[in-house]
Amino acid sequence: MQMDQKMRIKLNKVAIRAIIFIALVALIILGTLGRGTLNIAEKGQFLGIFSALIATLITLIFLLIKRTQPTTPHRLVNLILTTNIGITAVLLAIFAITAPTISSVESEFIRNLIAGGFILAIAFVLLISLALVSIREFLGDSFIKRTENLVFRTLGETKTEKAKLTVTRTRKVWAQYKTKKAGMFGFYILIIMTVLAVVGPMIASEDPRIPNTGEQVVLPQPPSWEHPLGTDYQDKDIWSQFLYGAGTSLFVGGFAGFISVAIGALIGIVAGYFGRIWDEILMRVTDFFLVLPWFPLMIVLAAIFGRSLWVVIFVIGISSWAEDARVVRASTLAIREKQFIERSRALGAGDFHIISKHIFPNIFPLLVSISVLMISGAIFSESFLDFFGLGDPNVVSWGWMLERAHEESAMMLFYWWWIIPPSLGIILLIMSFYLIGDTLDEVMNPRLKRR
Amino acid sequence: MRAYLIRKVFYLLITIIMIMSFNFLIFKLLPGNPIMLLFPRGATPETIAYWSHALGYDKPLLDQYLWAIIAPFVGDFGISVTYTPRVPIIDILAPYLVKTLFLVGLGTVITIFVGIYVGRESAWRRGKLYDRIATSISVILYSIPTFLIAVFLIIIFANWVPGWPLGGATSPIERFEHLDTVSQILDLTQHALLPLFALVIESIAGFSLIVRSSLIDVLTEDYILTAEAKGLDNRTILRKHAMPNAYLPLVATIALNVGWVLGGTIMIEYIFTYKGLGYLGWEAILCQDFPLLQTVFFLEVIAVVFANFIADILNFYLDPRIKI
Repeated sequence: MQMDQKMRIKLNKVAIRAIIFIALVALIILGTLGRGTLNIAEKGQFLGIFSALIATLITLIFLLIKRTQPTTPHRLVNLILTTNIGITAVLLAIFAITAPTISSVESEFIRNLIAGGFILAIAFVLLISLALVSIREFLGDSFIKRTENLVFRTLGETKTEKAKLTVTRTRKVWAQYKTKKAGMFGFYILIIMTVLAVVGPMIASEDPRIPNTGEQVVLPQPPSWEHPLGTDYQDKDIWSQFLYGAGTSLFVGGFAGFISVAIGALIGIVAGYFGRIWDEILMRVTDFFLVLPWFPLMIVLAAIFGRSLWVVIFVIGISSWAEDARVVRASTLAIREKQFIERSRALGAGDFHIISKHIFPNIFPLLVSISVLMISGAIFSESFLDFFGLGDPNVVSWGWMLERAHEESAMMLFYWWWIIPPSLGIILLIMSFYLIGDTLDEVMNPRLKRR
Repeated sequence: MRAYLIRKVFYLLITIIMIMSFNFLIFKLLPGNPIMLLFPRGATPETIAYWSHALGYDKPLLDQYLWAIIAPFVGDFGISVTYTPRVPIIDILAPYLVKTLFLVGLGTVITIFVGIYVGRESAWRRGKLYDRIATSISVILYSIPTFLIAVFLIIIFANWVPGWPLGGATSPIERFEHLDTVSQILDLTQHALLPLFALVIESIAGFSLIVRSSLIDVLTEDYILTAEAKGLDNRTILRKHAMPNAYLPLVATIALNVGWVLGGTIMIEYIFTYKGLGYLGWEAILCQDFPLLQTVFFLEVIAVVFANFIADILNFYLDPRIKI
């Protein structure tokens, strides 16, 4: 009975991951189909593959919903095989019957459709059964031992020990992190957004940067099959713009957050470690930047340096590091007073050695959590700079979409499909980074209190 | 006491001078001759020379720098490029300044009261249903950038509340002038309601989260347990024992929050065409009116710097530990 429970939990997990993965592949294929660059035979193949994927999706969801799941891998594979092939067959039949009414189709199309569908359906059944039975069990313990041996031989004893320690620590943090619901929620959103950003240009049915030439200005269209999120005034697809925007937000957020934390860490460590005159000067500068309202500052800098993506990144990084410097300095001060630093110095360690080998590793967890929080702020800033008309006009981003919508007064005219997607993207991404950063802070720096 | 004050005033002066130098330098870094901005369609060399002389651009850099530091104190912010014929910036500031001060002032007050109320109640009921609901709503609202809140408000009011004014600080001036005083006030209030609401939502959410965590820190300390053991009732513990200690970090937060609210007003004024400082700054960017932009930036920074200065002074009175 206990085994049954365990198996089911694992099955649920793997099945959810498989569903997400398959849904993405299906989206990519749908995007490829929508581009209209395929000939009729290829269209048949892709449609076949698509139907196989959809069938697998339905099967998996069915498996998840079903209360009593089969316990042995053998019965599981049987179940998946029958349902999947059955659903694929039905879908293929539907496509084959409706195809002639959609367009004039040759028999090649149908032949390819059926071949592609069935081959992929069977391949997927095998793959998913394998995944459900779990890869680790399939590979077994001997495989893990062998990998460990390999690592040991290439790195040597000390480094292997260190690597093992890092792995155990990360596992511990992760085990604690997993128990926080809010943090996991943010984590899932981040993963979905990252995947959308990476595969975005593949799924998108068109490149939003290329303007439609020769088209007359048309009214924005509400969502339809062709344009899942509707179109804007220039007949450009909103869904494609949304996908391109995800990448921009993550890119700008990541880089700006990194710049901000790098400056903050450098100044904080120098001020905290060397103290005295360094501390006094650097903290005056930090206070100055802390008090400067970052928003007007950003606007002025962006207005002066011009409209380009790197300027935006740089400006956000420059105007937000002061808080990091304060936090880093405080914890550097605390670590500097510890005994092991004194001992290290007595053994003849130089300043650089102490900073790089002792202080930096100790404040690293702090840096991780604040940089995640900084990314959340950076995404906020980027979206507003774009919305304000200070972003790069050639880069598609969510703020840029909102700016154009605002210019065309889409709010007054209630073109909700034009406004909701970018807004929701911004909100979700900011929230996800905020939740992740907060949870990481809680897990990794339990005793440090942030002011 | 006196030593502390003197040190703070000294730092304040240094900060202000640093801001002015920054303001001076950053606009000197601009490529091109700033005089040319006055003449978008070009001008004869004599005219340019005349205006360079009149505005002091032909002086040595050091003199210009010294003048840049002294000028704001005597009310000289230079000359605006957009407002013809060549108005000194000081003359056009007043109506804009009043509107922004109104938004920021009222916004800060509302933020403080509502934020402290929500934060206090949820810290007191930590882990209960009220706390969980309040905290998750706060996190969600905190994640919505102010300008998106404004956008949502506009969508809602434009489509479901017909006739509600969505832009400007008053009705069109011809109509506004014919109203009697009471209607004028009502009109102003109606126009200010949406911007104010959009402005405070996010800062209330952020502030209440800070109040909550600050109060929870206090509530988990031993002396609260002692107070409970003495048999004091809950509200007394909260009001007399916990809140005063929780206020300390809040004072500094409120001061920094002024900067945040100011940033928010820029977004709000832009979206609602509420003609305050932020809107003026946006217009200045559009027209490349850098003297004007410089002034707006200077005023906003000074406001935040002074808010922080006042917070320092307040902290001195609230926190006896500083006096030692």
